[in-house]
Amino acid sequence: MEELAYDQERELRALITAGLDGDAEAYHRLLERLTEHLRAYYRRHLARIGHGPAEAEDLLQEVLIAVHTHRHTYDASQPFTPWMHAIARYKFLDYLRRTKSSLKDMPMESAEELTAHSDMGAVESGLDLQRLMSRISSKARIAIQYVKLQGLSVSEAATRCGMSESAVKVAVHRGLRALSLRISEERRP
Amino acid sequence: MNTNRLIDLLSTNLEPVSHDRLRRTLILGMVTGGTAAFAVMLATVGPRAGLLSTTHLEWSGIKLLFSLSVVGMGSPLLIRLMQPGLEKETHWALVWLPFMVAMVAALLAFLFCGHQEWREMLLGASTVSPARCLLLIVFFSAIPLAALFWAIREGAPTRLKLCGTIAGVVAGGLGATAYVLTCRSDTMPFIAIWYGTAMAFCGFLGAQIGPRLLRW
Repeated sequence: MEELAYDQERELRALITAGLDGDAEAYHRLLERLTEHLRAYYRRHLARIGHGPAEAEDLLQEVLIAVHTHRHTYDASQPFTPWMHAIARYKFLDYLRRTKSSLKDMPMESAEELTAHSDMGAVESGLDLQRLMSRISSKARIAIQYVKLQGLSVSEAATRCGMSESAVKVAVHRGLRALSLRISEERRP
Repeated sequence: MNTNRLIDLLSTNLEPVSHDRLRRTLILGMVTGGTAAFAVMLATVGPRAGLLSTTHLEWSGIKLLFSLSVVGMGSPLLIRLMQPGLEKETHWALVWLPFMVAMVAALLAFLFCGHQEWREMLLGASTVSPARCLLLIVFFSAIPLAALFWAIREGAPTRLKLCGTIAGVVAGGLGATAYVLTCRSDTMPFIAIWYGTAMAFCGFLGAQIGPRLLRW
């Protein structure tokens, strides 16, 4: 068990380190691995307040975007699992506050609990990307459309939008942050 | 939305990130906030008369030592609070250490002086000095607090109230640093009690607004 956690930590840490340097393949792999762990983590915790797998998937997607837009807060000299666990736990507590659910006995857990289980069965989340996209600024929407959905390079997107390359990068980053905020608003009663 | 599609979206055209972005943002926030506090001080009350005479300069040095050590203790804590997973092992009480040292120095000053001087030591230059000190430090801290909150939002704080408190105390330290140049009261008890109260109050304000403004 301990050895497993250690191996997972080593693998995830190698992936995030490569991802921070811009290795898209490693980063993709990292997000897939995190998805398995986070899905199991949120399904287990949300089941205890009577929420189903679709809500867990919403929360998982919000966390994936949060991990992405806050990936610069990971310090490569530190272990990865506590970083990920702190984000997962923060977003879970935020979810409880937002949905006015209470969980009096949310136990103090160890960071390894996050990677102790994994669950492959995906469900659709209730989130509609097109609808969420319609609620962010048009500049950010176009930038995300070109760079993230159609996969144009930043310089191509910059030419098409008539913006500078750094303006496109900023628009993508702000747009993704706005998307994650919109997701959290969706669930507010 | 399908999660695999989201993962594809996030990893398409992945940008490398620089590892010292948080530190640079926080420094930028502190420099901007500190400069603004100084400019507000110059534009409103202005520096005190005789600031550069030797005794006043010595007292200003002591005041600056207090306010800057609060900033110096608080800002490394802020960096840690902006990074998930590091907040647990952060000794956040360290930020109060300069306050303790100042209080001990104030008590010693009281002990070594006669009763008849206590009132003057406590009130400073005039009876309105404590109120002026409190109001101006809090006033000068407003822009630094806004600048620090802006910087913290680049990070991912998970303990919002604590993070707001430390940001408030650091902003108070920057505000107090600007106030030093206009402060006319040169006694240790005055510095410890009124500077201390003003900076702690800024921490209290930060704690109140932190959970709302630092959410992400």
